[in-house]
Amino acid sequence: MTISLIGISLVFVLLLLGVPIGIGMAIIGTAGFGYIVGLEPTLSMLGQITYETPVSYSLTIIPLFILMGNFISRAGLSQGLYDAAYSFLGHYRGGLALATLAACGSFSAVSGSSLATAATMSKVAMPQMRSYKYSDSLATGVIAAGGTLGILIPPSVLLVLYGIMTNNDIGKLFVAGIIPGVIALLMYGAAIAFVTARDPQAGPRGERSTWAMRLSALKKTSGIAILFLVIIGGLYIGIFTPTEAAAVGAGGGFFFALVKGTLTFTTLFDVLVETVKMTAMIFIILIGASLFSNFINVAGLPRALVAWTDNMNLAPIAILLGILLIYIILGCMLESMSMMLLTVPIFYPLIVSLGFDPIWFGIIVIVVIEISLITPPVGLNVFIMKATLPDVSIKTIFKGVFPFVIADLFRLALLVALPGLVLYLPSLM
Amino acid sequence: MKKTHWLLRIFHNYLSFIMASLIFIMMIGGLVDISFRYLINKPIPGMSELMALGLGILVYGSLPLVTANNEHITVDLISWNKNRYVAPVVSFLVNVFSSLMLFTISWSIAQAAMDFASYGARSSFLEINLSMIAWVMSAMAFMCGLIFIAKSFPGKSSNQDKEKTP
Repeated sequence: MTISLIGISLVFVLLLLGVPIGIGMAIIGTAGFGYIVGLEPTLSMLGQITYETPVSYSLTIIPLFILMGNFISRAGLSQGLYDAAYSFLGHYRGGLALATLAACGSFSAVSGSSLATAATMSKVAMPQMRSYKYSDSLATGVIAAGGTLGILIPPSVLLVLYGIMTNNDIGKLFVAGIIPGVIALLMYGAAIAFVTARDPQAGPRGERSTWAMRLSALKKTSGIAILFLVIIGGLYIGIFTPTEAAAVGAGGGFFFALVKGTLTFTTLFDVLVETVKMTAMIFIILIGASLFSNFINVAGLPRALVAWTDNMNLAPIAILLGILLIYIILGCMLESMSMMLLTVPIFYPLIVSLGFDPIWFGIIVIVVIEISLITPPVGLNVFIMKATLPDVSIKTIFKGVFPFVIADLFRLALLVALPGLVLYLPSLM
Repeated sequence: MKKTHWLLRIFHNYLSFIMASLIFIMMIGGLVDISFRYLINKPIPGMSELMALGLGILVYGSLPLVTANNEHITVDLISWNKNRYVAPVVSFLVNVFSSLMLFTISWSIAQAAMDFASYGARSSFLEINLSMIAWVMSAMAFMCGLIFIAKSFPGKSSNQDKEKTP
């Protein structure tokens, strides 16, 4: 156990120095494994993981879903989604914020990325909210928080990685994220209602749209709604495997962008290059995490943790709460994907040995990571907001996200108390 | 990539084009395979094998692009750049550590390539030479290591990679 704790500390040292996360985990994973089992088995393990990890048909799901998100982002979908949501919700108090939330939820469903959602929606929704004199704090808070939905609402790259790391069904993980995603939307809506009830000037009403305007706005987003339904519906009914769904999604995104007339040769090239680079970034972390995970396993940390919790005679829920607390603290320092890949190999065996459902745990981990995206000091979505809106202070944005963090903590408590909310839909598959 | 040699820029552009074409072909291939499978019950033979091997090349082939553009995902809690004495040392260490790991990865994949060559390993359906695929992956990992080495020299580029999350 000591050697694994030293290894974890050294990973943090390398990461703080600025070594790329995947490479840092690979260095310590390889060195630690070599220290325990010797040179020959280490080189054999290294060759196997570095060659076999990316040569996998099932993992083509990662670039294909990223590609789908990139095509759809370039198709100018965000404005259409926002207009559609605004036409239905804009006339309520805080209605523009609600519309932003709904647009964030829909956009994240197809982009799969929290940062892309926050960055895109800030450009679309912020000018509109400012024109209606919304407070900067509420406006930026709702975009930053709405952006976090990207990693929970399927298809989510983080859920794919969790499924790969733990050998769980990716289709079930996707479907399991639906109800928690809807609960997030409802709770964020409640947070907006709370803020605007306390200070009506923070979110004044917009204009009421006619039904003709609403139907016209809906029509513009129908293509993307159909694509989402085909992918998730196909997975749910069992027509597609996740990899096939990803290929259909990428192809659909391509044709969607083509029909919208947003694809020139240059934009197509940009989208493809962006996708391959993002894929390489993710895979080097996945390879590093696999090497690190092997080291942690041969060092016996998961077994030691299980034995320790047995000796302590703690209730499983107490251990779970301890793990969640660690996630929340780590989330304040680490980037979301690396946090998940670094910790899941350590905690997953413990969680399974305690009798918790692995699909449920995957969703809980994602929800905690969502919280970490909007909590200081690392809160990446907050920094994305700051980068796209330099005139708004970080303090204002953090103040704005506070009610949403509280809503997230409520949601986390609800999902821990009622696992059925996560597991009901997958149980029907 | 602003201050790099024109030869490297050309290489960067060609590699970007090859990788972009590869992902596009994988997308179209996957889509056609599924369409044929469900519509006329005739999937394209060996498509899943091609996609798997294509992904291997795509991952390692795109790594030099990520490295050259400083786009690896890093933790950005401490700004070493603020101290002009510490920054070059940290940058040197980071790039040297990273390059050593990439060379090790390259070497281990090269070992796998030699193993494949020794018993003539081929993919199960299309009988593609696996040794050749592994050599390409190894060469690309080696190139990524070289880029890290080049970055460890002061004035070439910074080690403070941009933070990005998918």
